Amino acid sequence: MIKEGTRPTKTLSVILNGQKRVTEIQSNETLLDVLRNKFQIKSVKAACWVGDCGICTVLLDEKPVKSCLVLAQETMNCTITTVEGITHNDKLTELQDAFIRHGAVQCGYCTGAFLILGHYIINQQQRFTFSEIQEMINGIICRCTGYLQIIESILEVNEKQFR
Amino acid sequence: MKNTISFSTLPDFDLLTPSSLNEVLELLNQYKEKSRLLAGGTDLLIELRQRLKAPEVLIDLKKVSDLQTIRITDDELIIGAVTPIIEILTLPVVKEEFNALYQALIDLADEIIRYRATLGGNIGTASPAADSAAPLYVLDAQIEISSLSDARTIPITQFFTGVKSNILSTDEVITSIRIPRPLKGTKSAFMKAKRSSEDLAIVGVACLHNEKRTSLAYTAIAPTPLLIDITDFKLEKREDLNQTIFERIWEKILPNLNPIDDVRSSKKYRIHMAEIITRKILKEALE
Repeated sequence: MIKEGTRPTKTLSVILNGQKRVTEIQSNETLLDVLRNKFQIKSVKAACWVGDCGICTVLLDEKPVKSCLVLAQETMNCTITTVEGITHNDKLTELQDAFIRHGAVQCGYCTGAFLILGHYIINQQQRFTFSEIQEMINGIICRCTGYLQIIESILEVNEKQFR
Repeated sequence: MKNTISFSTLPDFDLLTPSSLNEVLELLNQYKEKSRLLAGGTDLLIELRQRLKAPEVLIDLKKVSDLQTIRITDDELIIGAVTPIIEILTLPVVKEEFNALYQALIDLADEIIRYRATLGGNIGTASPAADSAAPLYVLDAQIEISSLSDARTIPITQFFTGVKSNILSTDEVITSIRIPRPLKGTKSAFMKAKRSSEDLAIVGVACLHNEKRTSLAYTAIAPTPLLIDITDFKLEKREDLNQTIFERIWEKILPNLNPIDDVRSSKKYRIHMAEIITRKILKEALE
């Protein structure tokens, strides 16, 4: 077995929230490590490290992934979107506004993950039912709100798209 | 249990990203047991975190487009080993003709994991609880395997050799999963018992029924998945499955079951749930 931390670094280049970002990484760093420690993206939280809780969810090439289960190297030249990248001119998105109005935020730890996944769901340009949204968000754990307010927020914005 | 803090780092390895199957086979031939294949990573990265494996290199299969195709021919459905689960689910024929597979995949882990996890990975990891194994057993799937020097196709029933071990030698890779299109009028289904929506199965059961045969497959209830043929019981309609017949079927199945006690369930509960699901899934197949 190789002694840990002895590998040479590699240069990672990604488009993070619309901007090209470059950093040096080790081969064993995950996307979660790099986002938090190298790019200072703190909306992406770490909790279980084994893909159970979903709190580290981001969009990788427009698709949701749990960033603790993605090696940073795998994201070479990819597009990564976190909740920092969905607002324009510091104006809240409709979904963020809906989260506030519905009380979908309590401690806030899971909020970044639910917002980015909700953002993905809304961007599908497809009308979803309550139970479909319930199924789509089942990979993220929230210990405060009980999910109802989160689903209602996503559903409200989704329904507005088709009014 | 190890200190959970160590889980936040991965051990050292080199990541190799071949872009063709041939490059994959050459790398496998070069590194053999020093390498591990990386498909979706949803199992492998966890095993690395827990220091259950210490490969020198990971060979990433996601850049090999040949391994990510889905094709339907007149005779079979051919799924590239590294096709994400979510993509398999989008193909209408999967739900129409391979319902057991559809039901297993739509309930595999959670929606976000399904974007990443692959069918070849689910089989290759060879977990006794692999959700896709039960439907692939009843649907007679074949596993296509390649190495630099050879290629072979084996029935999935020969693939699993024990808990998390499979028939692959260290220079082999699964390239695709081939599933024959079932006879017209075939009904197939999958059901599992689990603790929460994203959890591993306590027990998984698949069933296939048509005029020629009736079979059941089980996961998470023995070191490998199990296939049990019950065609001899001549079940044709719902009324055929009375209590006496079911008890005889269950007598045939029960000696094959060898579950473990673990955090998800006791042995006793696993067997109890297996019986309940078997009865339910058979009733539905005979409707």
